[in-house]
Amino acid sequence: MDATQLVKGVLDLAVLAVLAESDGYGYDVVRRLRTAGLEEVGDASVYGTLRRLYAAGALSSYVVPSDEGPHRKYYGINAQGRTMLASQGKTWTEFAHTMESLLNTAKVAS
Amino acid sequence: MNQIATPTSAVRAYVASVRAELLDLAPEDVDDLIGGLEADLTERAAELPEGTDLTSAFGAPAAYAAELRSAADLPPRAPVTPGQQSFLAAERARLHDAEVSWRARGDALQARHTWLAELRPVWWVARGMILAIVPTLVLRVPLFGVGFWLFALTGAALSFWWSRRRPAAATWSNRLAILASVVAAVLAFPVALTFMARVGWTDGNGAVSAEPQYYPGPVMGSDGVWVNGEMATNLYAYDANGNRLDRVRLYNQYGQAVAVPTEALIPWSQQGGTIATGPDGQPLKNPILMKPDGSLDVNRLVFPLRWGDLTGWQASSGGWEPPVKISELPAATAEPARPDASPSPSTSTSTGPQDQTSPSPSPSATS
Repeated sequence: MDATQLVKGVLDLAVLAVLAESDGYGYDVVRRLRTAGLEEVGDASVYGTLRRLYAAGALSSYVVPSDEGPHRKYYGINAQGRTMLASQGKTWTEFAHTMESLLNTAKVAS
Repeated sequence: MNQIATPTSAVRAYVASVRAELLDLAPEDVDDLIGGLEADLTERAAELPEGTDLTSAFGAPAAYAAELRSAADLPPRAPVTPGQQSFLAAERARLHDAEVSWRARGDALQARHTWLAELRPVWWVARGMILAIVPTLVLRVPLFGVGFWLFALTGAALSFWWSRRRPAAATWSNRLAILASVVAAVLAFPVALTFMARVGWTDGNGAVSAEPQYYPGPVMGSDGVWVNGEMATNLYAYDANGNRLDRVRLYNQYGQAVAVPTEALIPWSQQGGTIATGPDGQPLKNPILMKPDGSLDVNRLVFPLRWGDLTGWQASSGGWEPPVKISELPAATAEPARPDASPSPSTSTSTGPQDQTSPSPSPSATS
């Protein structure tokens, strides 16, 4: 199965989880996702997701000017984002348990 | 964390291409998607092996833009034909491409000549000073007067401060700085020429110039003699021994006679039946006589100029009274006297007016 498709389905949740640790700018979020093991994640997908979550009111955003180069755009999770993270996290955990039970029944090695 | 490398021209070009793929979206959506992308891609590109092509690393800009749209839940780009694309969007894209290309050239130039970057503050200051000409002209403040220099100092400080902030690329602030630079560059040459003319930097070793086209004033484009940026209305000749030379005719290197233009004399003449006034505001005692046809009755080729019953050696219109004798030069072979050296009056009364026989270099006299 193509992991890229799976990642797309849970990218909102992954991004919210990363930002729940600390604020971050676009590429910083990408790097943290990859470090966590989601190596298939595409840069543009993450940037687009950040914008969508921001437009949905789950993230706040602020610009940090640079002395030398272009400014960085940071994102941080807000109360609405944390609610979304808790809700989607619960859904994902239940879904993962269900899948795990199903695969255990089929005796598929995890 | 806040030190971000300056984006390379390749990154700027890539971001510009991605932006071009998003131009059908609302500007705020585009800014949401693109804002910060330059910094992100700069950091990302720095991790790639040197010389890596960004398109091979990130994919084609169109695909990158499509992925951004898809993840952001924005509609895919509709196929756009030139006829459907709004004029504004097309112009915006073209302007943006031009800006990217311009920046790329600037980056390449700076990469080759790194010292150019060190000169930038000098240009920021110069730009502000040059642009001071604009409020000076609009507010009709005397050129190169106190008001102008106040504008210049303020402009220099503002310009330096503005660019020192290093506004991010593709912002209105940055574009304003670029526009100011272009306008200043266009104005630099005429402003410099006018300034040099005003302070009398007319040539390397003398203050006399016969290039009236560089000097603004009422007699622009006329012949005549210019001293320290001002039209001479009379000339007084002395020989090396300091004695007056009367009724002198002067010629330049082309054999052209030196004359005081009519325009320079008109203020001192009768005009429309009115007696002209002198520098002290009083009516001239001996205004230039006019012929019945309206022309001036004065020989403009023989110096000092004289008319009516004047000798030509009376106090000049500039207020200077030509002395009978000025100090001698140290030796006949000495350097020519400095043009700005004030002749020192002498009590000697020798050497009155005398006729000079001209060498007559077949003058093509300008009258």
